[in-house]
Formats: sequence, structure tokens, C-alpha cells
Amino acid sequence: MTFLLIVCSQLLQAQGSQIKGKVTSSEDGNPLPGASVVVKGTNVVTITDAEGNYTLNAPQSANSIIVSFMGMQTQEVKIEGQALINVVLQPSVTGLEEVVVTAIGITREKKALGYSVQAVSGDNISNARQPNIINALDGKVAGVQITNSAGVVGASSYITIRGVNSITLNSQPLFVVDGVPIDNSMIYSGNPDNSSNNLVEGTAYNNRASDLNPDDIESIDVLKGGAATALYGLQAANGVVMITTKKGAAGKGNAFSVSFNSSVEIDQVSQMPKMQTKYAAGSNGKWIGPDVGTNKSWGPLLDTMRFDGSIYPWDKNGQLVTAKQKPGGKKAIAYDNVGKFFQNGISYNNNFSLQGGNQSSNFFMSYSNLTSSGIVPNNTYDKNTLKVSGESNLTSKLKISGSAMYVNTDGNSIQQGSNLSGVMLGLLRAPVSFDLANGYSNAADQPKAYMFADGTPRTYISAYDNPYWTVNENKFKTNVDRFIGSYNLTFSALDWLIFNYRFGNDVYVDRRFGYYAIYSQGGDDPGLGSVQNDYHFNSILNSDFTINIKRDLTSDIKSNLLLGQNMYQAYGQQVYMEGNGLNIPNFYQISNTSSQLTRENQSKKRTAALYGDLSLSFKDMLFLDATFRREWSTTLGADNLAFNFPSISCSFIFTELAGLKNDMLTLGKLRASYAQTANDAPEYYTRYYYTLATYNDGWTNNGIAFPWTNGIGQNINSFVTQGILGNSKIAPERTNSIEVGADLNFWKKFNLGFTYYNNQNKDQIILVPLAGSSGYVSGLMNIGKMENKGVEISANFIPVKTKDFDWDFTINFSKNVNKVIALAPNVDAIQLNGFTGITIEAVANKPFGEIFANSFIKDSKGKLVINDDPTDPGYGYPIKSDIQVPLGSYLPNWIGSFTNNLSFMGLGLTFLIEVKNGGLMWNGTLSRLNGFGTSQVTEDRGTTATFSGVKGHLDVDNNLVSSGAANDIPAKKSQYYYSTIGGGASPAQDQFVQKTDWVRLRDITLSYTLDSKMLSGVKIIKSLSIYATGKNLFLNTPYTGVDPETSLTGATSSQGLDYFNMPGSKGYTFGLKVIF
Amino acid sequence: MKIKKYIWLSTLIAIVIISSCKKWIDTNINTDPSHPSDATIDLILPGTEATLAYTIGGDMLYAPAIWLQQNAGVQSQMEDKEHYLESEADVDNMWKFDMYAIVMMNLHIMIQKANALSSPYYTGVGQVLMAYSLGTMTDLFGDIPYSEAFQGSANLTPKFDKQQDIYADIKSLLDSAVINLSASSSVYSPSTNDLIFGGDNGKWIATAYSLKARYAIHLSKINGNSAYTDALVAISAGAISDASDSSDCEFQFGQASINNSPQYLFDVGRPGYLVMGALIIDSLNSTVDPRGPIYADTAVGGILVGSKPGELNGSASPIGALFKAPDAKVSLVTFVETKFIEAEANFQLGNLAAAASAYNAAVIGSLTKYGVRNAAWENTYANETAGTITLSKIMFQKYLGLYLQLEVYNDWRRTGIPGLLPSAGNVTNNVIPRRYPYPASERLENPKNCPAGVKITDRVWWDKAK
Repeated sequence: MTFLLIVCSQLLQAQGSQIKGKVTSSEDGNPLPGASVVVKGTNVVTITDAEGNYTLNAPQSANSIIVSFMGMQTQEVKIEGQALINVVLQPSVTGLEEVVVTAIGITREKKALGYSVQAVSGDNISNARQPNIINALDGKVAGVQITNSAGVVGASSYITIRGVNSITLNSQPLFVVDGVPIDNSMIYSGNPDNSSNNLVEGTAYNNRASDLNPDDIESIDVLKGGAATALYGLQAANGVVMITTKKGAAGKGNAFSVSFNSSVEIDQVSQMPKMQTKYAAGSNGKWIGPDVGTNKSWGPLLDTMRFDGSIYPWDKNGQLVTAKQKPGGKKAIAYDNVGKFFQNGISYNNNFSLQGGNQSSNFFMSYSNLTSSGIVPNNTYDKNTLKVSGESNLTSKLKISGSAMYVNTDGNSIQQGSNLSGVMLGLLRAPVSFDLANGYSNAADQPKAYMFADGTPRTYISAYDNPYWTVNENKFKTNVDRFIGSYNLTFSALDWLIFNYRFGNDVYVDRRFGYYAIYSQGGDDPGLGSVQNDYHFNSILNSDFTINIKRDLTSDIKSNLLLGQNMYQAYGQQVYMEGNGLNIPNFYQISNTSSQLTRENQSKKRTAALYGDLSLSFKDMLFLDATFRREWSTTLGADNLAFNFPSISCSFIFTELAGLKNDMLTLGKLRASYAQTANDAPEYYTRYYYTLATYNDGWTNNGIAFPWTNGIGQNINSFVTQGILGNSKIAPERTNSIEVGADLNFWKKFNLGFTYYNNQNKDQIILVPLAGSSGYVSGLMNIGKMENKGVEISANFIPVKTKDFDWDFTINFSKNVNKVIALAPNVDAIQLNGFTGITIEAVANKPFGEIFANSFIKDSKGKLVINDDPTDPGYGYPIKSDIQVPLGSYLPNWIGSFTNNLSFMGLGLTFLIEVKNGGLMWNGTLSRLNGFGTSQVTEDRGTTATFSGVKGHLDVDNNLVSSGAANDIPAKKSQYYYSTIGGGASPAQDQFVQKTDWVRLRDITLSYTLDSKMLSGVKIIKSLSIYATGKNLFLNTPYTGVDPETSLTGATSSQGLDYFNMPGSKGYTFGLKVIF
Repeated sequence: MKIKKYIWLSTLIAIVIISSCKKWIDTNINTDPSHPSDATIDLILPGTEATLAYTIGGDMLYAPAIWLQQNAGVQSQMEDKEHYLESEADVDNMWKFDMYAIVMMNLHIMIQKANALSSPYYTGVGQVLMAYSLGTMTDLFGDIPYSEAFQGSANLTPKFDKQQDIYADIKSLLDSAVINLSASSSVYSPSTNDLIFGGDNGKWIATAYSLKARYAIHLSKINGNSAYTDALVAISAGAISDASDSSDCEFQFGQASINNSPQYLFDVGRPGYLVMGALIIDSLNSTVDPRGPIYADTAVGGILVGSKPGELNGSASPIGALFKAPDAKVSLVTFVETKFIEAEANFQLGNLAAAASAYNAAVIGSLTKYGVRNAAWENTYANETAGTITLSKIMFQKYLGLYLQLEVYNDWRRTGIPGLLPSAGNVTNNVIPRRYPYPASERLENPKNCPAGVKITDRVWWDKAK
């Protein structure tokens, strides 16, 4: 690096010529602020200021400038010695004139690309008002699927492009900000000895891409296929989300502008499971009061119960008795625990930015603040971002640019999922006869609601925490400090030779602090209180050096060769401290605990690569692009350290052929590509390790761990093998992808893009489960095969485009067909996550993410077998089988979106409708609620049904005995039925695997914008707009739980589990945006 | 001219890049700084002991204790066990992640390392624990892999050895252990890192003899009288004879939250799943057994109540505080068990006086163990003679004395004592399970060797149907 700087500084050379001008629109003659002006064949680029003016220094050798603006046709203008070049841009009709950002940050004309890239403008990102940038992409790019894990603030979102590409490794795309790869991991907390069990309990965790400020974004380009990403190598096996942030506009003098965007959002629960309101707590029709404690709502009808008016700490109205015992007593009440618990979440989002520049330099600076409180009391998430970027042409040949972003996020998240402190668990299991809020309207702020005078919890069963207790007494705070920097030096040696060096870093510290109060049921020492400190330090360093050589070989054949070198390092460290057994109540400090546990883990990997990209074009009609990358990774076996990524792609504008261009088909392009990409191995699997002796049998939160205090008080440590077989030959996962497609434009009003792809993933790195008797539990192997085939259709219509009235709409459709072709020998399935009797798996010959559940026994004709053994308590009911069967995947069949934009005289209406077809979800919440008798389903208790099926039973040897006769045995929908067969802890779970198809109004925005003309009286304001946005206002789904867009395990590939997940949210946003 | 300069520049850059690349990619980076690549025998032993005790006192015990009606499962997964639902997924953890991958694998490594280091005391302790592990596994699962097990990538699908072969292996492991533990010297010796006996070879040797007696008498249905003779020979060779309980082979869990006992962690993690069974409680109540308040906590009303088989009585007595204390002990083999074996063997061989005397010592030993000696009660119930002693007294008192120990399940399968009524609502047509199913993981990952179609109502080899 130092060396390069010295060499380059010796080469500072003569000045070029200055060029100025104004860029305007042909439609209304208005200036186009933010248009990009590039000196062709160089990296000299600037952006027009608010009046559409630009100034730049062109090298003497420069021939022409290229002017581009989103939605306008790109224009190339010859310089020919001119110092003033005004450019009038025509509206884009084909979309293919757009310039997009491709791998390594290379900007390319879309028409030259032999693969599909879809761009989303910064306005579209900003206008979605989504604090998590991933959600802002929802519905905007064909082939991209996004799942928001919950509607609580600070929750993660999961994104995949063209399906799941890796069976066990990461399947999410790489995020690149201004050429620098950044971290988008979702780190979960909890005792590290419990590994992925922590995912189904604990709280919601954020994904780190959400740290970015959506208002800072100029554009996002989504690179989907192998050919688009091959140049990025290892990290980009799952596609790339290329984020370009805003830059200042250069101008004459010191022109600058200030913009202010402020909004407030109110959130509410979008969908909740339906609950019964008729039956009191108890069992077998008999009342059980909270003084005894029960989680069952199988008591008497509320109508038959009266309050006795006595002093009863669990209810201000007294204890419940029968109407006979207290005639004339106050009637029992069905308390609305669920309705009262959730609140209106409120978020304030303020964004301030300043930009400007002079002839040779420009800058951009922004500050944003998000302060949000969620739909669950005390759930908070605050984010502050500060960004400065600038660039300067030191000479006509040397440009420096850089950007620095600091982010701090701070929040408190709430216990959820399979967790005795989880709020949904405590809330939905609460009998309707018990008032969790104890009559207080502000129960979350009122300790008397959830705590008795002596400090013990007030709840309906001591095994669960009252949700109001949890939100107050069990905190989980996260605080992230993050710095992302990018430093760039460009040396345009000759008009055809450019050297570029870019260094980037992404460093953050994520400090988490959680505690459970004494008496809480959660944590590693229930009842005794615990404290956790979980610190994560992560850093990414990335260095890219490129040489760009551009030559016109003949007047028809042009070439561009890019050569590059990359060095990359990712480092992570976790320090976890847990203390159990609080000595002083409410004093949450490790030193205040009876026993402690600490863990430390590090991970480090490096890669290095050499790469090249050769592009050839013929007559602006035929484009050929070949890339090659050779990469080394430290995580691979010593014999397989290096590997290659080739790609080739081709684009053919056939309407350029004489005779094919006509008024109907205004533009036609065919494209095809082939690429090999790869994913490397996780760190530290090339050999075998001993680990600290720990064991957890699955029955409890934490099992045992060393050090051990022996009989004479000494601490004894132990290291043992825990059966992970390393592999010194591990090689990367490979994907061969083929992509073909067409882009067509008809009548200059209708764009149609079509893509077909076929991705064959092979040598999948799998931690293959091994027979325990081998002494090992699993071994890392290159063994699995999977494929993703699919189509993407993007259609854009512009029915009306006049000076005052614009109407356009876009339809995105994508269908991905995934199939796991093979796992390992003897391995039919790999469990990703789940519970006993219900798991998410990768299964050979099935789509990834298959939901496995035990089911009811069926006869050879597939009919349900109804138990006809009168001595069996299950008489008259379907019979559960212990064998788990595949039911289908959580992956959708297809997803589609419809975006509509209308604007009339500054008034705008935009909405986005999303459709998801297919995909399953385990509604584990319903299964449990049926068992406890709190779900609305159980209101039919006591009625008799004859289950449809055939009569039969299992004999001593578990063989089915059935005459095949239709069932005619009436059976009662009893407590027994709902808690063992039609629900409970371990019923046949297939009945709770539900469809999650949906149609939703993702967002709708009404805005009114006053531009500078309308505001001519107020000179200082350039533009002012007010807007109102609704999110998720309409949802239609057969799913009966919370919003079907939910994930218990957050942003992981084991989607499809709903076990007391937090609900989704819908929101209303009101905002104001002013540019000065 | 200019171009030449850039060619020179590019060449220089290329040299810098290629040399920096080589330094940058250092394969040592891929050595995990957080985990050791090797561990010495002194570090391996304590982890295997703790992991073994944690499973035999918890995960592995829950179902047999319910089936034998010492406990009753009244909620969720324990309710399933009450109904004799035991699936192949339920036994995965104990088989794969505990006994094979941690306990036996590490014992195997420790024995090999100890042999190479001329440390017979470590070898001997490893062999006793290996014999114990194999015995526990084969009694619950029948045929199991051993001769081809623990070979890693050399053999990822070991064959299953016949139970009679496993029994022969257990015997030879224990014989060899006695020799090793009696060696005159050992380069390295277990000491305070031996969490069971603190490196006391004498106690390990006694344990080896008690286990020899146990595994001899397990074959009573197969070997007839020679099973009893073998057991008595082993006992007289030096089995546990110290009634004070300090020689019992037991693992003591700890107060620190990471050292807690399995029953404690189960109780806080799965509160209310397990209560006392009616069979044991009714018996304790009927004789006003002083162990009653130790084994069980009182139910509502201050009395001891057991849940009848299949009754799912959630308000029955919880398991006694001693057994679910954070620092509860888990017994591997004890003086009390040894005395009961002696009583049974003598009884079967017709040595009734010796049987009665061993029986009395065993029952008193049990009371001693829990600190509840009671002269009046002992006078009635631990005062047998050659004329009054019966097999059912011996086996039923053993059932009471070995509360929450897996051995009662083996005894019931051998002797049919205690007599059990199948639980109401069971799914096996009133057949009480006689073994564990093979785990799903082994079926899937070792398909050519793992026996197929085995049901929990099937019998293991030594449990010959009469």
C-alpha cells in the first residue's frame, strides 16, 4: 500500500481540460439534479447539482462524456474541445440504457450485460420507510425472497436470491457498500454450549445490514446469477446486493443543498391467533384457581362462575366460585389479556443530509436518528448513523474518494419462542379467567400487575413468567458500535489505462447484556436469577487493486480488460460471561452471582484472489464478457487452497440487425451466460479438536460443563472429544449456473424481461451425521448436491406519461424450483432445526426446507385410521404414528409483486401488492394452545364428532389391523382429545402444518410534492413533500397463527417454524421531506 | 515512452502483489485458537465420568423409572413414556451424543493413551468405566457395536456385536481392570481429577468386583445356577463391603449451576413432568418406611401420594428433595446393591441363612445410606431368617433400596419382581416395554448393521422368555 502511494505520487501529471454544463430533461426542460457525468474511458465521474449543473476535469486524451440519469436514456457526447456541454436527456423507454453497478463496482450499460441485474433507486428504498434495508427491497426485484422474522422492532430479515444455494452454509447474498463487503450476520446469544438450541428461545436478533441508513442510499443493484457474481469469488456464491451510497454533486462555486426527512410511524399487531373466551382455568371441567396454579383452560364455562368478592391476591374481584355457591355474585369475566398486552409501537425517524461541492471536489454528510418502541411494551430499537463521504480530483489524473460511516444501535429485545419467559408463551397460555394485567390499564408500567407485595411473581402458573413481568424484569439489551470505511485512489494514467486501489473495513462491537430477575422462569438457573454479558467483535478488511485497459480494436470492436487483485480478512471474537444465582436482588452484575461461566471463541479467515474481466463489443450489438478469478482461502484443505471461477456471458441486441427494428418491437435483446462459483468451508474444520467437556441431554436449558468442583473444593477441568471429524481435504462448494434471458421493449411503453436459470450446486459442504458408534457424531464432507431452477419475469408498463400525469406499474414474478439431489451415503436427511416430532430438514429428492412431522396413521389407501379398540382411551380418534413424514417445504412455489405509481401535478400514489404462493409453516403455537384449551378451536369441546376415515387399530406388533370399513364411532372433542391427539406437546404434528400463501398490501404511499417552480415564492426551499405510508394494511392468508411472514430462528435457513413467535406488525407513517 | 513507464509500474505491482499473496495466505490461520488439538489423560477422565453419570441418572433413566412405576410421567413427553411411547428419536441423545461420542469414545482414547504411557491405573479406571458403560448400554439396547466401534474414519459403520459377546467383553475388561489397578506402579495416576474416587485404587477394584457380580447375575435366565455362583465368587473376591457408603461408586454433582444434577435440571426445566409412582409410594406408606419422606416430598395434605399407572395425577408427591438437589449423587454401583446380589444368589443356591443375613444387611445399608435407621422398623422388615426369607422379599426390597437406579429395570426383567400392572392408556396392548428401541440416528447412519424392526416389547438376549 505504502509502496503504491509512492509510485503513484511520482506520476502526477499535467492538467486536463475543464468541462461544464447543464443537464436537463427533454420532457419539461427542468434541470436534472443527481445525473451522473462520466468521462468515457476514465474513472472521472461527477454528479449534477440541484440546478442540473456539473463541472469536471477531463484528461486531455478524453474523447467524450457519458451522461446518465435513472429513468432517462444515457447519452454520449463528443467533447471535441468544447468547454461547455449542455445535455438534454430523453426519457428512457427501454430501461436498457440504464447504467448499473456490477461486480467490483464496475458501472456498465445494462444492454451490454449477458445476465440479469435489477436496480432499485434510492428513492424507492427511502420511500419504503423501512428501518431494515432488506425489507425495503421487498417485492422490488424478481428472484429475491425476503422474510421478516417478526414485527418487533430490531428483528432480523432473511434474504435469498434465486433460492437456497447451500444446504448447511450461508445462503444469503453478500452485501457490498461502495465496493466494500460488509457483514450481514445475525448473531444469536445464549450459552454457547447450547449452540443452535439458542435459536428457538431467547429474543429476536437483528441482521447487521439493518445498520445502514436507507436515506443514505443512492441505488441498489442486485446481482443474481453466477455470471454476475463470479468476479467476486467466494463470498458471492449467493448473489450480491450492491449498495451505492449518495455522493455530493459538484457545482460551480460552493453550491450545496440540505435535505431533511422526518417521519413518524405507528405500528400495530397485524394478525393474532384466535382465542377462546368461554371457559375458565381448570381441568376436566373443574375450576383450578391461580393459587393452586394451572396452565390448562379446561375448567367450567365462565357463565357458570361468579366472583365471591373475597380478598384474593390474584383477582381484585375475588375468587371464582360456582353460581350456586354465590348466587347474585358478580359474573365471571373473560379478560382480554391478548388485546390489552400489545400497544401501539411508535417510531420517529429523522434524517438530515448536507451535500455540495466545487469544480474538483464534492462531499456528502448525513445524520439520521431512529427512535422506536415496539408493539410489545419495553421493546425498543434506536439507531443513529453518521456518514461523511467525499471525493476530490487532485489532478486530472488522480482522484481520491472515501467514505466513513459510524452507526450506533441500541435496543432492548423481549424474550420469545420456546422459553418459559417468552411473552407469547406466557400470554397465549393464560386462561381467560386470569387477568394478567390485574385490572391495570398501564400494566406494563405497574408492578402491582405482575408482582405481589413481597416481590414474588403474580401469575397463573409458577412455571411461566407473566408477560408483564418479563418485559420489566427480564431485559436483553444490545448496543452496537460500528464503523464502515472505504478509501479509494484512482489514477487515470492514460485515457485507456486506469489504476485503482480501494481499501475498505467494517468493524463493529456488539455488546449484549441480559438478565433474568430472581423468580423468573427463563435463563440458565430458573428462579434464582442470572446475568449474561455477550460481547462480539467482528472485523472485515478488504483490499482491491485493479488495472483497467480499454482499447478500441477496430472501429466496430471495442475491448475492455480489467485485471485485479483482492485480499480479504474476516475476524470474529466472542466473549461470553454468564452468572447464575443472584445474591442481591435486582443488582445485575456478574460479581453478584453465585456461579459463573465464561466462554471465548475466535474465528479468522483470509482469502486472496487474482482476477480478470475481458469485455468485447461489436457495433453496440453484440457483447461478450469473460471473467476469471483464482482464489485462495485459508479455510480449505492444504491441497485445495486455490480454486478458479470462470464465467462467460453474451448479450445480443438483435433489433440492431437491419430489418428487425420496427415500431412495435423497439428493442430486443437476448442474453446467455455460464459461470462457476464457489462457497468456501467454515473455519477450523481441516483438523480435529478437543473441546471443554460439556453435555446437554436436550431436556434442559443448560446441561453440565467443566470446570467441576470436586469433593475437596478443587476446580477440575476437562477436555474431551465431542466427535466432530475434521477433513484435511475439504474443498469449496461449487455451483455451475446457466442463465438465458431476453429483454424486450414494445411501443416504447412496455418493457418485458425474462430470465431462466439453472444452478447446479455440487460438492456441498455438509457436516454429515455419522453413526455414533464410530465415536464421531459428524464429519465435514464435500458431498451434497442441490439444484435451483427458475424463471423470473419483470414487466414494466407506462400507460400514460405526460407533463402532469404519469402512470406506470411493474410486475415482478419469480418461480424457483429447488431440489436436494443427494446428501451423503446413508444420509437421507439433514436436520436443520426444530423440536422432537417436528423438524426442518434437507431431504434427498425433496425441496430444501422440508417440514418433517409425525402424522396420523393412514391405511394403504391413504385414509385416516380411526381407533376401533374400545378398551383404548383413544377409541374413536385418529391414531398418531411416531414416524416422521415429509409434508412439504417452507419454500414458496412462486412469489409475485405488483407496484403501481401514479403521479399527478405533484400528487403521488404508490402501492405494492405482494403475492406468495405455496410454502408451509408449522403452527406449533396452535398445537400447544389446543392442548391447554386456550385456542378458539377448543370452544367446540364437549361436542361429538365422527372422524372421517376407516376403522382400525394397531396390534401388539404395531401392525395395522383394519377392515377398511368407514368409521362410524362418535367421539367427543374432549380435553383428552385436544391435549393428546388434536393438540398438546406431542400430537401428530402434521395437522398443524399450515399453508402460508398470502396476498398483502405491503405498502401504500400517498404523497404531495411541491417543486421549486411551485415554491417560487419561497426561494430557499427547493422541494417539499409530505407523505403518508401504510405498511401491511391488508393481509389475506389461510394461516391461522400470527402473520405467516415469521421465523422462530430469525435470519437462518431453518424457516417454517412458529412456536410462540412474536406477531407481525402493520404500520402507518406520516412524513415530511424538505430540500433546501 | 509513457507506455514503457506503465509497463514497468505494472510489473512492479505484480511482483508486490504475488509476494504479498503468499504471506497473506498462511494455513496456520486455520488453526482454532479456542480449542486444543490434543488433551492429556488427566483432562479426559473427569469429563467422561460426569457425562456418564449425567445420562444414567437422567435421560437414560426417565423411561425405565416410569415403566417400573417408581416414578410416573404426568405431563408432555413424560406422559408419553407413561403410555409406553418411546420412539427411536427419544434415545438418540443418550446413545449417540453421550454414551458413544463422549463417554465410550473418550474412555477408549484414554485407555489407549494410558497404555502407551505405562499408566495402568488410568487404564484400569478406564476399563471399569468402559465395562459399566457397555453393560448399561447392552442391557437397554441388546446387541451394540463395540469390537469395531470408535475407529472414526477407518470404520464409520461398525458392526453390532451380539449381547453375549458384549458380556464376555465386560468380564474381560473387569478382570483386566483389577490387574491394572493392582499394578505396582503407574507413570500417571488418577487423583483429585477422578471425581468418583479421587484415585483410590482399592475402591475401584471393589467396584470392579461388584460389577462382575452384577453382570454375572444378569445372566440368571441364561446360565442358571452358575450365574449365582459367579456372582458370589466375584463378591467374595473383594466387592464393595463397606456399609458406610463411602466406598459406593457414585458421582457427586455440584452446587455450581454448570455442575448441577440431571434430576435437578430436569425439575427446573420441566417442572411438574414427573411425580412419584403409586407402587413405590403405596409400599413405603404401608410399612411407614423411614425412607418415604426421603424418596418423596409430601403432596397437598401433607401425605405421600403416588400416581397410579396411567392415572396422570399431577398432584401426586414430587420426587424427594435429596434426589433432585442441585448436588444430588448418582449411583453407579453400591454396597446395598452388592448385598442384594449376594442375598439373591445365595437364596437361589439354597443358602437361605446367608441370603437372609445379606438381605438384612442390604436393607439396613439402604436406611444407613439415607440416614434414617429405625430400630423398630428394622426389627420388622430387616430381620429375616432362613425360614422367612423369600425371593420376592429380596427383589422387592432391592426395588425399594435402589430407587432411581437403572438396575431395578434389569431385575424386573430377570425375575418379574415387582409385579406390575400395565398403565392405563398404554399403546403397547398392555405389554410393559422390555428394552429401548434402536436410535433413529444409528438406523439412518449405520443402516447395514443396525438391527431393523426391533420393538420395545421385544426381549434382549439374557431376558429369555420362560
